[in-house]
Amino acid sequence: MDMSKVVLECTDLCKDYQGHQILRDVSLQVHKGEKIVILGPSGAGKSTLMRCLHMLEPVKSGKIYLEGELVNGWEKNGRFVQKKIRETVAARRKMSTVFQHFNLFPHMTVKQNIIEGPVRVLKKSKEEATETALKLLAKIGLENKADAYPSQLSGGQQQRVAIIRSIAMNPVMMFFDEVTSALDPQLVSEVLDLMRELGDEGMTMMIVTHELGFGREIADNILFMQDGRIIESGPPQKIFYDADCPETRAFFEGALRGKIDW
Amino acid sequence: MAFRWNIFFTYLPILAQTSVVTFQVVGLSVLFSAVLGLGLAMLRMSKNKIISGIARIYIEVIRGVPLLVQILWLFFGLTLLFGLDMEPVPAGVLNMTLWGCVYFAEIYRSGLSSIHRTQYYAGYSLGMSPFECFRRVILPQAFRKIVPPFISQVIVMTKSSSLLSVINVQEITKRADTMSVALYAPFEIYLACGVVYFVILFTIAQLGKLAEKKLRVNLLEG
Repeated sequence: MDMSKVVLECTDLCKDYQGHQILRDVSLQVHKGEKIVILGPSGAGKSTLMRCLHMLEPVKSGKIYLEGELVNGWEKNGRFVQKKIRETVAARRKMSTVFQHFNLFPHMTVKQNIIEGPVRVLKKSKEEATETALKLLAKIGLENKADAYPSQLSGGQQQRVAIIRSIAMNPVMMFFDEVTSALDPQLVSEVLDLMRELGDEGMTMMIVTHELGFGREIADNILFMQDGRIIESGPPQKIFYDADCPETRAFFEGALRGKIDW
Repeated sequence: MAFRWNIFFTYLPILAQTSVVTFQVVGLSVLFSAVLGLGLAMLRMSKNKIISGIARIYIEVIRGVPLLVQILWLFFGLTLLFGLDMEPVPAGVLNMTLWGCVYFAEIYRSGLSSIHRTQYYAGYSLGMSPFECFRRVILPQAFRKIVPPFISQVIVMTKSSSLLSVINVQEITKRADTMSVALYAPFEIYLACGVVYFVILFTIAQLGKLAEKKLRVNLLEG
């Protein structure tokens, strides 16, 4: 982790939906190689925050900086004007998101899914992209599934292919949005193992998860969110066992009382 | 009274030949209404409330009135209001198009809206522009989803073309009407009529299943 290099930063992000405030003045920084885990109750805005940071959805107000550059809008005559989604292509392709329900493209084979981004967006040649795709598939032991369709794979296999699809884009950071929540319990560990491996290789990661044990193990920094706000942040030991805020303490006391497989 | 097989087998081929007219009328109607339906779907999905409102009213009116009533109303309306004396076949195609385009529009609209938002997120996450995402991710999936209801609509339009007999389109049902009266043999003739329709519709249904298999429509399930 390189604390001197800020990969992603946001200031005062706000978002509402149908009159309901989902994000309230959220500000944070992500450093190179850092693993940030966002925890909190359902409806806290965790997944929305990550979608907004990756600019998959617009925010109501607030600024997002990627590698020091303002990416979600322009400063014009002292006013901040948000970019439209088609104007954020260059920044969006530098980051990657892995989703809870995998979101592989069902009409494409595994190989086609993985090369789609590099060929269409990064303008790589099909041969180069295919070579990379097959190498990545071999790394996770799924090279024999290259010509299979997503519906022919198990949930765990689909999610690992989704992670590979994101890695093939060579991102500067990756978002993981509850990537094991939709999996059968016996398939969760193969996905978490791959995420650990990515973390060990130095990938900058932001993770929303309900796997508290995994979160505690992998995180450099934990953000606790509730009602659209970051209530508290800090290293895992502090947040889990010695939090400052009563909301944080209440959440973790309740969570730790439940059955958790460490 | 015994079933007169000789009448059945004599007039079955003649009715089968008349299916050429049915194919012409249905073929043109499907073509025009499938294209018009696309335009109607886009109007219906327009962000402009007036445009989408007008489209919606048209759709609700067409869906709320039986096709037979529409056929009769339009046929007599064209003569009374516009002094137009249309030939039965063009009038039949016009009728079927104005009616059928509504169902195609709804097929397109529901096919498109059935693609979950998360597929858009996945495309955007790879850095695609909205246009690229629509072209590479959304449209291929929506296309596969509309194939089964599209084939169903073609089958419905083929069956509904029998109603055009009331405005004298010389298709299968009209010919069967004429024959059954002339021969005093409605039971035999209408059975032959049913057999001809069945062969046509069964063939369309099987071709539809083949198309679904080729396009791997089943991939989108589960």
